[in-house]
Amino acid sequence: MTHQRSDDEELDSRLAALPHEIPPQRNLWPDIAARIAAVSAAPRADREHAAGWRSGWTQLAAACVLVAVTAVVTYQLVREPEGTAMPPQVAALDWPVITTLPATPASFGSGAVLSPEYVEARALLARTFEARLADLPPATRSKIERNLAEIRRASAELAAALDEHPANSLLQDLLVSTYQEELALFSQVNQVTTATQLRNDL
Amino acid sequence: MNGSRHDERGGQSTDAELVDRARRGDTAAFEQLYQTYAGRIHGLCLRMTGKPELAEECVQDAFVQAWRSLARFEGRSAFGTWLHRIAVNEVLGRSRRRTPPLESIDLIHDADLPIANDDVESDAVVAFDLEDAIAALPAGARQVLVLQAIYGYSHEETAEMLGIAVGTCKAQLHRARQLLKARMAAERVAV
Repeated sequence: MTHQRSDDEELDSRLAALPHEIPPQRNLWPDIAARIAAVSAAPRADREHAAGWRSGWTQLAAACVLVAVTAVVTYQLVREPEGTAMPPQVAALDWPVITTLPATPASFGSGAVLSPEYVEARALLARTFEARLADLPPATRSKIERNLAEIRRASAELAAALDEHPANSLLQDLLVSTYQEELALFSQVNQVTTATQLRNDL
Repeated sequence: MNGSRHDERGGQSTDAELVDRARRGDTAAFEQLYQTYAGRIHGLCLRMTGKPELAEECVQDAFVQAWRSLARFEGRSAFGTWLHRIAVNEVLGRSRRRTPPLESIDLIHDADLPIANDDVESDAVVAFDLEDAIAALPAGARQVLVLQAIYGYSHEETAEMLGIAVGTCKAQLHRARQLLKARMAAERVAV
């Protein structure tokens, strides 16, 4: 009984001593800033959907699903140890490899422009991404580049669709989500290659 | 946590002032709020998920969601409290969406727990990492323990946030404490 009470007291005392704050190991603000800038860029559209607009909707939704799959593939890729082959269940995507990464899009249809904060934060992440990408094994690098190309293809299609339907809130959300996928990809590669470098430093 | 702090211009800003500025689109003000609360929100997410990478994602999502929802923040609770609730929702939302679910990280099974040895003195040197033990708890027990025993929420508040009954909340807390005590005893025996 005494032992039981002492265990309870010891546990209480240890729990009470735990700090409430545990700072993240890296600064998460640049990613957050880029995402909220992208959110802020979305024009406040009327929530009405134009009749007759639905024709291209399925294709665009499919493109976004593809982007999500692409993000998952990249997520798995960047977690593979260096030199490890891609998991067999993930088929290589058959899209053209981009050899240089364009200083992309940053468009939001013709109805709005992306905020300078987003553009600046994205540029910062992209610079680090390009530098880190060069350190990855060629096979991994080319697959990540293909995935990035697919994300950007979807962004371009959505931006073009927004030109025709600038008030469509669903298109706006989908476009923002592709921008976020791009940032997430930058972030994953930046984060993983940093960890690899740290391990190599040991 | 709800006090004033120096802003970029060398002045003092309270949470309410920063929230007001952020509502008007001032990302620098929101960044100050991030700097103030990042550690606390990350601590909460890390302990609730038990996974560092997932915790970082939840922190980012929580702040982005807070930014989106600033217009609806009425100031009836402190900004930090409001942000906490958003973070808890993000953690729970992710745990529902993910496959396999967070419950899969269970590392301790009740049946595997060793029986405490009463012959061992209670003040024995204990090599016991409480954070690791919390991370290894079953998800439901861990989430209740983190919210109540570390962050001080009541049974009622915790139950509401997690969407469970108060009785379930109490049972999960009891389970978490039992598992932690058993782990402590096991470590003591090992020493």
